[in-house]
Amino acid sequence: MTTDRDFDRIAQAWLAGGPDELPDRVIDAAVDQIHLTRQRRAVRMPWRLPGMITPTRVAGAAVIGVLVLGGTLLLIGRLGGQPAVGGAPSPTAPASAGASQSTGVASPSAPSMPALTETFTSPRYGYSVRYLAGWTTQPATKPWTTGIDTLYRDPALDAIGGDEALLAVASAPLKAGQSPEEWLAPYCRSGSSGAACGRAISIGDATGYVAEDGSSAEGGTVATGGVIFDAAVVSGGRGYVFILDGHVSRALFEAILKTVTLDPAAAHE
Amino acid sequence: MSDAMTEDRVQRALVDLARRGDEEAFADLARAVGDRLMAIAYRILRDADRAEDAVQQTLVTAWRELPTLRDDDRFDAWLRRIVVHACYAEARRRRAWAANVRVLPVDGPEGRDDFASVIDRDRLERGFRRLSPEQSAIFVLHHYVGLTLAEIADELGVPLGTVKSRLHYATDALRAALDADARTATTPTERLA
Repeated sequence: MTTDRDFDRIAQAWLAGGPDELPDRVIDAAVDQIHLTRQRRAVRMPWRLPGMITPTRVAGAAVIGVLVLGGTLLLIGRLGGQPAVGGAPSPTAPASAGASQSTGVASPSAPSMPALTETFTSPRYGYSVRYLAGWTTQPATKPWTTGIDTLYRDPALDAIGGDEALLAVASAPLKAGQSPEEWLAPYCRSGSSGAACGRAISIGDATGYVAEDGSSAEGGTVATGGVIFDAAVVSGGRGYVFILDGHVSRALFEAILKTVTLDPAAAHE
Repeated sequence: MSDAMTEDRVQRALVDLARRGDEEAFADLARAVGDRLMAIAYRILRDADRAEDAVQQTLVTAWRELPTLRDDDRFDAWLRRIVVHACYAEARRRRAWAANVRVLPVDGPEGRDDFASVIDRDRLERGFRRLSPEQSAIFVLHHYVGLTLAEIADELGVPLGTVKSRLHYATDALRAALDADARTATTPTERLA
């Protein structure tokens, strides 16, 4: 009979044997592969392409965006008005969008939906949102800089979540003379849906648009095998981006967005 | 400043550059962590070729997902989680043929030691191959990497109770392999049949 002590010593000695060096060819093969592998961007930005921050290109992007988004972006003119409930359907809304999606709110009877019992009020960005008990919050400590990709650990993000999920929120004032369409168009275009915003969704008292709608996080870091949702909205002269990543569902994303209260006048940076 | 602190600072700098898309920095980072990943992958999979495949996949996944790493202090744990999952995938991908044709070689150098005889190693090798990838990974993370059960639960994102039960099962199975093989005269070939 092998004693505990003997077993541990035998097992550890056995585990100590074996190759401990990775051949260079494996590194070389991996490096070759990453040339063809796009990094996953943590938080996509309006004006994510550096060259697009010049006024000329922003204006160009706005024109293109308006043309591409067409009737969809006409709805944005109502920002600050009624939510999208019952509004004209977005021409880019997926055909599979059900009733709860087209109204931009989560079904109140969504199965196994945990209660959003906690409230986070952003000290910087002028909004509040409810979240799951057990999640932790980390408010942003610096302004959000547009024109570059923002990483999850960036202190410009309000970060709310746990080990298996992260709600990241960023906000910035629109530039002088910039319209909501100009702010939203490049953001929407950078989404996986391609050239146009996704479905409309109510966020606070405004109409936002979904860019990522459950795309695979491909082994992501927030939670392996997770998915990502995000939506952007403009209200009171500020743009907001909400991203939910991890082991999450569309129902949870929509339920969270439904609790958002936008108060851009309270933002201070 | 100690070498370990210097290495840590260098690794942090490489992580920061790589997450911003610097491929050269990532290549340097891969060289810095490659041996550690190989050591873990080999011990889980018990096959050098499969371990190399798992590490290569780990590096590609790490490159793709690095921008979303939230805490630099968690880089090593984050990477271990990726390599363990790559080993799961590799083990399952090869399971069908491996179950039929595996000859159970004792890979790697057979250094002399006081506690693990060639016979013991052979018995452990055979017992280990009967474990699930999840059980193997926890056994390796605990006995080779030296993580506590709580650390394993945290890294792999599974409940502590699950970690305990998997380690308990793995330990019992390997202990049984050692003891049972000692009591019987069956050959490896007969036991595989």
